[in-house]
Amino acid sequence: MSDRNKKVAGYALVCVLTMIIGFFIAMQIKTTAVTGDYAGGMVSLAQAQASISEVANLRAEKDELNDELSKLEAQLKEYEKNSSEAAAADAEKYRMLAGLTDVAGKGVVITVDDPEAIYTQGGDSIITYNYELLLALVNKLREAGAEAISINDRRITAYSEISLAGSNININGSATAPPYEVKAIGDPQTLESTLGIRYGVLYSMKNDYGLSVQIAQKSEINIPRYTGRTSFKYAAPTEGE
Amino acid sequence: MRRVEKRTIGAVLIFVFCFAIGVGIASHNGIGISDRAYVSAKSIEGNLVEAEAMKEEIERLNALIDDRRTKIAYYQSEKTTRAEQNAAAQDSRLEAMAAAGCTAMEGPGITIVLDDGAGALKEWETPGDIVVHDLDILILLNDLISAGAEAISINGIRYTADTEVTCAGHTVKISGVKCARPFVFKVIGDADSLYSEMTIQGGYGNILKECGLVFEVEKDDALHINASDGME
Repeated sequence: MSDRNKKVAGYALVCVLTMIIGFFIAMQIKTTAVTGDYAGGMVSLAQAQASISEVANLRAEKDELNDELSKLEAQLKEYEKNSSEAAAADAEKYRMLAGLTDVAGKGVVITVDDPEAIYTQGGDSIITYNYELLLALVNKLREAGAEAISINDRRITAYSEISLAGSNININGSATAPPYEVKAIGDPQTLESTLGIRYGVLYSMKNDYGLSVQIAQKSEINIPRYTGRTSFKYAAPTEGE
Repeated sequence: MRRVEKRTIGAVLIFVFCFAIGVGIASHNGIGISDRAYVSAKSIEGNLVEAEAMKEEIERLNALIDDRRTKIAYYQSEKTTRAEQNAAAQDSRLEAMAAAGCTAMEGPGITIVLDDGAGALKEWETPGDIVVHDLDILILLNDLISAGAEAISINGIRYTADTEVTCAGHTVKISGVKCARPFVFKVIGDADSLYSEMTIQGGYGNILKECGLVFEVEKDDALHINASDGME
């Protein structure tokens, strides 16, 4: 091998090594620059774990506050009972009807998600931009006799909106992203049969929109209370008719 | 001798360097196999959105906790008479009734009239294109709630947490009651903002209008909305 050839081989080696380093740098940049509206690409494990643990911490804090609220409400209920047994019993009944109490029972859990390709190749969320499908789903659940409904643990009441906000949807004023887990308490068989009809809403989600849809009957579902606004600024209640 | 030394140092250097890169690749792959080094950014975005929503939920819970504490303090206060305690319990009952839609409501707002189109069908239209569908009503209800509606009725039927809207041939069933056209929405809330939200360019009402349906919005400063029939 001549000196010249040796030199070329050396350059080639440096070239390859530099390329490898470049590859790693590029990957590093790609994995960190994913915040913002468009979120394609990949995220490092550390970042993913950080966000998972943040959610876990906030959930723990939320659960604690929920417990505290329950205790206070139990105490308040005692005072109300001591003041007027009848009023307290009525209030409890109407709160339940309004969706202001946690409820548990049997029913179905439906998971609606974007096609896999949206996750791997990026692009707009189909279910988010066609959120009227969720309206139709909630409507069908009510028709099938659902007594309580939530989407991603946001209780659906008479005051719940499902609206597009940027690239997410807002339910009860808070943003949420797919997958959408819809829980409904009611007769599991009736709920599943009603939703499962051919050319029904779940059928359409799958066949017309290519969404991934799963439905499962459950013997125990917990649906949280509505925590949003319950006081009125413009409407004044007038008792009776 | 010097030449050989230089070469050796060079070789060792490249060896160490390659070794480091190799370790790098290996460790990346290693994590990849065991617990996925790279997850889709979409799923992490979901986490960020959820974290934000939980912060808002925590705020709402704190507000509820404050409210309950104030109420408890009122009952505990020595200044509160027995009669006042009773009145507070009755207020609490009325508040729950109102939240459930089981009291009539009065206030300002808007009325909307939604009706089938009356014009002749265009060549490409079918009768189904110019009649009111259940989904139209659902979308309008949802838009009204987004716009801050506090109480809504359609042809006298109060919208509550259990209200469903279903197609029933030539009629639409709302909460199980058959309703025929025209559909009259009474909506209590901020009349100005409700009006502008419902008549906004590109809004659903205007889309229906463009399709040939009747969609009219009017402000009203004194509406009366029925209570829901209540317990089922």
